Amino acid sequence: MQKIILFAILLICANASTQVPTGDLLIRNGTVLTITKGVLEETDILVEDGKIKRIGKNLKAPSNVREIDATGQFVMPGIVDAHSHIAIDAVNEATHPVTSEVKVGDSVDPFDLSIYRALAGGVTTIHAMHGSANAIGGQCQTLKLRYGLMDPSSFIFEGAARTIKFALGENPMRVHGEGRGVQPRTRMGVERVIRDAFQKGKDYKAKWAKYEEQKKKNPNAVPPLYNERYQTMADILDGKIIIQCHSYRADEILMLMRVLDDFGVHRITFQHVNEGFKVAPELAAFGAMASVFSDWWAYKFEVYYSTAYNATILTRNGVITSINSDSGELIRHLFHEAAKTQRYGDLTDEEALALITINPARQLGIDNRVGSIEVGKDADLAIYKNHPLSIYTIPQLTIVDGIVRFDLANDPADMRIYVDPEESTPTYFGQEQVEGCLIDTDFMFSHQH
Amino acid sequence: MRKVSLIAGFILCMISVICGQPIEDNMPRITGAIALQNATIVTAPGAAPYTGTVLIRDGLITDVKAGSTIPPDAYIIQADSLFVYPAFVDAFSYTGVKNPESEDDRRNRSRPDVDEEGNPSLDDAGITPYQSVRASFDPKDKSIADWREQGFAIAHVVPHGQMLPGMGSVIILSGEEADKMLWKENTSMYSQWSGARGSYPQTLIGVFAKWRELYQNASQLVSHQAIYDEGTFVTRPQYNRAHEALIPVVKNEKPVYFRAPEAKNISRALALQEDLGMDMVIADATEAWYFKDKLKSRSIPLVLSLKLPEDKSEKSKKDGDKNAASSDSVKTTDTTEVVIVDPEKEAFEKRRAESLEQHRQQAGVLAGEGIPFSFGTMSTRTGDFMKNIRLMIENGLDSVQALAALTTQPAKLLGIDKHCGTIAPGKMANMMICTAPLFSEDNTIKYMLVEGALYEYELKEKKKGNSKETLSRISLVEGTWAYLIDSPDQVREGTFTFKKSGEQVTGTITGQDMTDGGNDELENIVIDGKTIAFTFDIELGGQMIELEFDLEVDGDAMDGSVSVAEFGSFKVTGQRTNKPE
Repeated sequence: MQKIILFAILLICANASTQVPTGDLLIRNGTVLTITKGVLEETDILVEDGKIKRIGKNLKAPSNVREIDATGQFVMPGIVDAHSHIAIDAVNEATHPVTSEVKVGDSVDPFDLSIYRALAGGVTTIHAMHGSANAIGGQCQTLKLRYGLMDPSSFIFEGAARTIKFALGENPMRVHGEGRGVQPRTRMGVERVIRDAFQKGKDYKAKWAKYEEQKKKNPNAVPPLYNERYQTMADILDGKIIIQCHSYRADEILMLMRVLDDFGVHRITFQHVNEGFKVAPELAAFGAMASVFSDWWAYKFEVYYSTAYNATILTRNGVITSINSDSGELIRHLFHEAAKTQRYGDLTDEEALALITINPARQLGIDNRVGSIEVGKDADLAIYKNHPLSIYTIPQLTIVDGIVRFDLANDPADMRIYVDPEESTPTYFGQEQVEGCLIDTDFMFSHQH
Repeated sequence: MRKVSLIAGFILCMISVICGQPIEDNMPRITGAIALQNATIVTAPGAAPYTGTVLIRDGLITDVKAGSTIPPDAYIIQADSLFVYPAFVDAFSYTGVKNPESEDDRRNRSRPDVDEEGNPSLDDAGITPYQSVRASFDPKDKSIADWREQGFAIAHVVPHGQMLPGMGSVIILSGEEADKMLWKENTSMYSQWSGARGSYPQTLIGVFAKWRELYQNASQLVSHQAIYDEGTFVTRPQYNRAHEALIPVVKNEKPVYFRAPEAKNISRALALQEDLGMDMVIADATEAWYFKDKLKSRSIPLVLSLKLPEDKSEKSKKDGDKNAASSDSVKTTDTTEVVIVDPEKEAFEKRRAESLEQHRQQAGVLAGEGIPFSFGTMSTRTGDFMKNIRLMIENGLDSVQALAALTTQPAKLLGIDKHCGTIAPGKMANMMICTAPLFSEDNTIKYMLVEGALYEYELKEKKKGNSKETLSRISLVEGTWAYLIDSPDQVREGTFTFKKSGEQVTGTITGQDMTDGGNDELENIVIDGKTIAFTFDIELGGQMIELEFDLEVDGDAMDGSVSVAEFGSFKVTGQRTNKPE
């Protein structure tokens, strides 16, 4: 009896300390692609409380722990998508060129079916980003795909680095210059907007520092008006937030690095960065990282000068590079996207897989938790039949925190959590919503100003 | 359309199905005393009914018991066979509140001016926490009489708007002028996840960020003001009326009623509350069961919506059709019907039916969990109110709990339980006098007492017409009518045409924007005595909205109202322009 009570207490404590459910598993006899520690043949992985407890041969687990036979299959770390717009209900607060105060993490949509589709492609973590309508957009949110939970807060990747969206070039020029008749109308204007915002953040920070100083001597000191927008700019200046900048052209990439140098900011990942191959040494020297498409371009004027060798050239120049989806469709086969770097650039298996695992994890400040299979890391794993870089690969199981969230063998037709009682009977359901950088900005173009 | 009446006729007890109609009357009150004699009284939710007399004087209940002595000046209502219940208290609504901005204004509005920081004015941003609901309260608004007729005596009403429309007040649903009707002013703050149109904050994430900033600045203002009052050489706090208005919120002296109909609205409101710590009431909820554990553990007060989703199943669409629900029939050569069932469609319909059931069970499930809640009428039409309550009761809500959520619970939530919610000496004389037990199908309200003011409703037998009668009823409306709808932005004109089709009447509508959705059919046409009621589904900005018409016909003239979902109800008049021979 006492034992039962003790067990109950332990259970309660465990629940109190961990907000999200975690699981125990033993994955038997798979080919383990660790990413950081080579390939381990016929190896077991023991998962306890959502963490990788042991990696080795003939591991033993308590009898009640589920065993997964991965004989002849490949176990890799869950894929990390460094650029996504799924699982959030608001993408662009496109009403001002600088909206550093908004957080897409406030609009997490636990019911988005795209989350399940991403899991079906072996993705376990996404970087849900603000769109590219504004020169300085909102703060992004790294999410774990714990599909099945109701509470939006249970999707938040605890401890992930704070990140913020910046955008250069045509999108902010078009939304604000053309759409609203305000700065920025040109690439010069984009630079000006960013410099102004940093300067205001600097001034704001100085005002608060002055107040903190005064307060020591004068109990009657009054604080300056609080401004969430410039507080966030101050946080970037203090190195608390990693910039994630939508960019295509080499000239504007160099421009932003000069601006950041002037303000002493050095944590940045360039997103898309189609002309990154032209300035790869400069990016490496700055310590900037890059998150690219495998072979997607020519969808607007500034995205014509592109190459499928981009990821390889960046990698070979020492730039930490990832391949992202920016799409609710591409996210389902990021392993194919990574494999293209072997056709265009001959990256090794490990280098190619790093593009969708450990490298994006580094860019999001979560490489201590995910991105490779190592003891102590989160048990976010994807199991494939055939090598994940093969065109014949098929995702079998996707595991988040030791809990199976996708299982090909048990994949019901209707995976909706939320059912609208008034939805009309569709010809097929779960209609694909094409995700993109300019969601929520249509209104800008329907007005003549 | 005031119908205060102190002179009541002899009460006919009708056992058959009856419906209430207010009596047109405007007699001055000659005594402040009323006696409800020999009524079956239910004093509070769960109280055993007993026969007795209720005495009322000057708006207060003075005595409730069997065999009270009736004062000589009392106006006596012989209430034998009638049932007396405490009148309802509406926890959250727009009753009597005009929507100052019409749909058309919104569509035609140019983008607001912004200052160099990119910030629109507070009004353009939809941030008007300083606004009292009084500014948009209209004592003559039809919704007041409509909801009173449904049994409501008290309502907590809030202004229309976007992110922070303003402050709510408790009103009494009786009276001629705002000063008399607004009982407790500015007792709540109203907020919702609605962005400003075309300006900051436009999206959910903008509203979130703005709430944090406003809250932080209001908190800073509290300490700044204290320092300014105490110390010397302190800069004067800059006046910002939004920050000023939010001070009672940051001090937890004024609850924020957060409108959160859907599951995600609710979880986000809870996240905001957790982040900032204000006193919050989750209001207008239709999907609260998703977060019942959180609501329970954090003791967040809850106002449930009285709206229920429509049944969209194919079964309900073509009731009685042999080939209902997810099947298509194909006639084969030997004329036997083969029913083809699409399993995917069937599975979809099944899940939707489950969801519909869950929505209907919301109140019952929460009550079963021991989570207290009140009801609010904000998103509900008067015509659906009783029907929906009964549906909730059929789906597991105990009728005692239903009555509590309409009386004692909201009274407690609004801090007026000392005065309202039950029938007891000393309480405000808010009662409904019914012809049958409250939630039973054949009940109708015969009288409403709102702070002692008596409203009488005419009881009419619903006619189950024979065909001859049906035809004579159709001729009442047959022909073409030119109508005028007096909506706030403009007077809308058009025509109704009613035709005889067998023993049925069919109708169509014309008018500006009316048939944009490609539909001109009037639906659910019911002719009863001299009144005609029907509905029309109009498409507005991609959204289907049901217009509910209720008109009285007098020869070639008609007069009445149309209620437009949550936007309110508007006056309608019509003239017959063409009548078939």
